[in-house]
Amino acid sequence: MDFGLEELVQGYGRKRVLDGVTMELAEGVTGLLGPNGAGKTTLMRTLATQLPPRAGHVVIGGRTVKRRRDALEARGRIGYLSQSFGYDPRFSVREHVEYLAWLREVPSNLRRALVSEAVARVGLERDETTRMGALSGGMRQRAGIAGAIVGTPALLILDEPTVGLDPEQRASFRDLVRSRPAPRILLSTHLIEDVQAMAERVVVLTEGQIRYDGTLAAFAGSRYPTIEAAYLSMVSGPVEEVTL
Amino acid sequence: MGLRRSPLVWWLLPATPLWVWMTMSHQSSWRGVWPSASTWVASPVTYAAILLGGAVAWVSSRRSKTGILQDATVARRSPFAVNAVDVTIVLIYAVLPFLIAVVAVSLRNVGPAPDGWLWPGYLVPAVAVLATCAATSHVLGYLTSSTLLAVLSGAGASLIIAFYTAMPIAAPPELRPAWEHVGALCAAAAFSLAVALVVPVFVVGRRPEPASGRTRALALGATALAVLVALVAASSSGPSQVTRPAPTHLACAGVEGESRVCTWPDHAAYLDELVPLARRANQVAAGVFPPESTFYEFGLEDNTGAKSFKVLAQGHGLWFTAGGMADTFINRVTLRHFCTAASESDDAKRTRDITNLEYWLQSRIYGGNQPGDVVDVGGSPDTSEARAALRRSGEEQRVWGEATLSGINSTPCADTP
Repeated sequence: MDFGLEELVQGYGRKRVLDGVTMELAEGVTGLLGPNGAGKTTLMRTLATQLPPRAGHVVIGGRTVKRRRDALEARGRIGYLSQSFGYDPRFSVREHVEYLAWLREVPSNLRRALVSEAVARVGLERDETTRMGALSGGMRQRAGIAGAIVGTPALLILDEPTVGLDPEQRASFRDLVRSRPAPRILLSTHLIEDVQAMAERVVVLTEGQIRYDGTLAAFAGSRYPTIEAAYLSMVSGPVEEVTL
Repeated sequence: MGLRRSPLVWWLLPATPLWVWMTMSHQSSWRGVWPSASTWVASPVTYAAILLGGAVAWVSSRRSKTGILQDATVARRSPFAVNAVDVTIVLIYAVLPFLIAVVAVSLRNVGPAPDGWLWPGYLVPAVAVLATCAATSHVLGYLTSSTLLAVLSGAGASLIIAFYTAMPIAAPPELRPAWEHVGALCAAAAFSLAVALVVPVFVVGRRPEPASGRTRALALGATALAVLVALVAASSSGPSQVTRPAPTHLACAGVEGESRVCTWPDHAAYLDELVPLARRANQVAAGVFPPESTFYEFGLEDNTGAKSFKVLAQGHGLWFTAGGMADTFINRVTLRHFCTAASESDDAKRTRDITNLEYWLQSRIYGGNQPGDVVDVGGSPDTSEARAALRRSGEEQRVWGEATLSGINSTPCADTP
């Protein structure tokens, strides 16, 4: 396994949020579906090495993250955009991305070029001097992705990136994700249409366990008329056998 | 980038010209005098610290809500490094108005002042107080959920720190900064900075979820401790100034044996003003007192101050200097006759006579009555006789002066065992 989780157990206090989760992230866009409280954000934070696992392993770039040093090393390969990512409203788009490049310890001699590349990748070259606080929700989300992909990480983790976007902004954002700004993208959402529009693979998480892990095409299969029907059956019905 | 975009620029823009204006206007006595210029340029620090505390707490409170430090928990760079950069930016903005005022004062002083520069012992405490207030307010910004509360707590903590830190407000040449006091203030600033570097990370930069109540309580305790350390350091480190040994070479001007004035070398710039005053002193005292060949500034001739003057020109012009010269005349003639008076009424009369003679001579040396902005500590003494004498002719004044002096010297003495 190059990127993924092995028998991961995670929780807060006495509450167990993830229970023996194993998933491998292949190249392409993986949609992480699940109802609110299923553990999607916890899974992503653990994968991003923000939370150390209670049990099991996080594997990044073929190496198991065991110690803090491993986590710092792994973070160079991960771009993470949290649900409500932090930004200074006074920073311009370019400055925001530069700041994130500094946070990611992108070498200073490469920083300028890589920032330009990331800004161009999300189509914000013309707005790179616009203040973050003056951007629309969709453009701010693009700037957030630019910050997450600066330094060309191998894995991009996007936690509910379409929340708060209007239909037009959402369509534009989907185009951006489909353009594959990073080789592997894990995208969490509770919107099935997001997964349909962007993902090649689907992972369904409910009550801290994976209910489905497979291709989007196989998700609905022949048993359900729509992907939505398949998902609803999965989150409210009996546990399906995991298809890998 | 962070420096350029910091909202603290809105503190810098008014604070810098205000600081320079407060330093350069109102007073001119510091010009040409390095120690006085040093305390004068540092004097706005108390007001500045309060405004700075509010501004820093406001900025930190807003920054803590942006989630930037929380996001650093998934960055390669340590949240401590991220916060350290923030603290550095805060410190730069905190001291920049002061440093600009220091440069302005230095440039203004280079011409008229003797060789030297501003005294670091008076500048460093100002930097230490600003750093302590900025660091404490930075933490308070991270600890308080309400921005308004953050501003109030930052300004309040800074008010307490600045108010209770004994910053020298004047620099008489016979005193120098006490390094123990300076060191204690620096240690307090270092402790506050350590708290500012660590606490915000523990509150918001360690885990994505909000800090526990216990962590917040510990953080608040550490901040309160920082304030306490600053107060204890300021109050327990002894006086802020200590006596300085007299120099081997004095700055003197005037004609040898006639109205000569000697000051500390640091006060050489005042000599041009003091020599005419000394000349007038000998002129107006003639006929009543023997002439003084040399007037010495306090701390140069003896340690009693009985036969010396002080240059206390802060807002009062040369009134006190004239008083010191008047005392030089009076003390030289009366001290050798001084004894415990035979009765309380004799003592009271002698005191009244000395006060009136002193006021009369002081006014004549100064060239006018006591300035209106000069306030006597402990209430104004009765100088009605002197004021009445000053309205008479020169000869009548001389006769009055002689009679008063004679009365002082002939005060009946108590029998000594």
